[in-house]
Amino acid sequence: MPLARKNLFAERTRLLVSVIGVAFAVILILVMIGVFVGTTNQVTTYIDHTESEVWVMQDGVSQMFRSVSVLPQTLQDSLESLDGVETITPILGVPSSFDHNGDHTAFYLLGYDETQPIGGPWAIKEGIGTIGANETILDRVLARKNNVSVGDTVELMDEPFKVVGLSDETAAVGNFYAFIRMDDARRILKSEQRVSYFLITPKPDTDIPMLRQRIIDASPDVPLAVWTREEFAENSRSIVISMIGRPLYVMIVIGFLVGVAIVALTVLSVTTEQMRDYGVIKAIGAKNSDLYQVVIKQALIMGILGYAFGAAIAYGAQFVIRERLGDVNVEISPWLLGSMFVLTLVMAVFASVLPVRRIANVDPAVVFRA
Amino acid sequence: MQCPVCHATITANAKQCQQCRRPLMLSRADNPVIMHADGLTKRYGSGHTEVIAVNNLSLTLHQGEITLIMGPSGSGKTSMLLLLGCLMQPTSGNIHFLGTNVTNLSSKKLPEFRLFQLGFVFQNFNLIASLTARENVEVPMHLAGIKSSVMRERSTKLLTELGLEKRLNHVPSNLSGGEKQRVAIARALALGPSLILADEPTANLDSHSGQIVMESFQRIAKAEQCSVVIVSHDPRLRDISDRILWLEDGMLHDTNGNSKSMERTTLVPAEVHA
Repeated sequence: MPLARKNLFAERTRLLVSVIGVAFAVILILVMIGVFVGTTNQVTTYIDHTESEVWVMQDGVSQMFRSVSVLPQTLQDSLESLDGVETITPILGVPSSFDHNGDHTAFYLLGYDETQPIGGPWAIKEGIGTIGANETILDRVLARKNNVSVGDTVELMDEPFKVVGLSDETAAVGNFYAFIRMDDARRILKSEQRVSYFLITPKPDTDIPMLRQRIIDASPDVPLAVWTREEFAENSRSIVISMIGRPLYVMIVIGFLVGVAIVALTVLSVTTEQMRDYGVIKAIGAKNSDLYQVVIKQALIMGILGYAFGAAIAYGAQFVIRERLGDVNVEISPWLLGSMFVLTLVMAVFASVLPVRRIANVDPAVVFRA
Repeated sequence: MQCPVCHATITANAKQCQQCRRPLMLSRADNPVIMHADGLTKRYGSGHTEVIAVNNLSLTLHQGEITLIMGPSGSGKTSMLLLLGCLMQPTSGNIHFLGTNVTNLSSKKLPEFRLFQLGFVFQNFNLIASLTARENVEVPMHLAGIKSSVMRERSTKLLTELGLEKRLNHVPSNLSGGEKQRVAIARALALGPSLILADEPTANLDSHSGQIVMESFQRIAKAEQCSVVIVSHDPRLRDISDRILWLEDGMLHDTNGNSKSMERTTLVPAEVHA
């Protein structure tokens, strides 16, 4: 019976407004979840791209953003000689404030050994990827925020550095990376014999838990914490999740309820207008379940149209947001789109509850009243 | 035996048509009596406010017969139609349909019974505004789960027989009153019912349209061998009716003012009040 579709499309303006409303709810939910996923993935971008399986740091440190790790440089020799260690690379980093032309931006200053393949930027957007003395590679979003270009001179810890390159994928929400040589970092941070982390690449087939214990045992005087890359990333991610997770969950729930309300109000409005028709169909011999199907179908049509519209916009918007903002990463995967489709169907079914209840109470005897 | 809807041959002892799934549990092949209502009473309210809308009404309806029921406003016509149409439970009394007591059918079985055995024609047509004439006729068939091809063929046939072959795809707003009522009649006939209940079917029609509708009822009763009950003030309907009954104060009366069980009584009061 084409009743569901025809009744819904009888008033196209109302349908269009409702579809836009559902699309808004879909966009809200998709972008919120996309921001959540993108942010939590992006915040550990440096850890994920270092290609070193094991991170060694000061004991008590479990994540990269709200603590500072300090280790003696001399520890490198002890660790290098351990069974199972292929390579070991020190990095020195601290969170700081990038001050340029009166503006202040939080960033992470990271010194690395430019002769080593790991520890430095992995994707260069502009300029070159190798640095010399008093040269820096800035994250491109940090540079754009402060109107800095390749060739400009910036101050890091009150020392001038020439910008030779702009890196990509090195921005996390509210945080950006700036790379300098390890020697420069030690000098400006006054940490001549200190590092923040040792990045260890194990030999193939090395038992990681046993390597972890060997590393800890190799430093009886300086207590160490040893994490795999996945563990360290997960710990760092959980900090961010704890900060932004709850407000995001609330917004997602609000988006869901908005979608349910819009579909419910529209279907209820259509149902109320058609109550006499439903009475007639009941008198003819329809069971309540026959009419429930009409209502649910109307809700599903609206939900699916709104989803198609909203998902297309949200999916396209993620690329624009990523390009324009850089430090806000929205990741809307096909899996998320599929899940949102299912959620939209659930939204539609929930929205059908009130109209279904109203239909259940329609008295078919109404057909004999004027 | 042939299915009245899709004309497929039905095997003996089959409970439903294999092609269109119309149930055959109530067969009128050997039942000239379509419906017998016995002692139907309907009371509303209680105590001082009690109203007896239908009072011990008994009525027998036969195949191919047109029964006209007339009466003043407030006589209980609507309540009677609701009872005969199984849209309301009587306070007391029984209705036997093709030999089966349908008074106590469960709320789950009643819709199916109405769908396949009853057809309704209303004063205000009650067509679905967003559906075309054909789609309106197909509504009962959709509910019965009939295949699209069978539905299409049946709806086209019914509307063509009623002179609406050029109006198949028109929505009700583009039809005249007479055309709308004929669509409603086609809808009532969609599943080959045994009984059609018509409430003031010519009330909102001009004389020409009313005449066409009356002729349609006449043809239907004979061709489809179903019983037609018309409730109306329209005196023209007397010309097509096999029986004329007078309903007043919830009781069917004869010319002497006595209420009695109406088996086969033609009742023509001296004056018919509109």
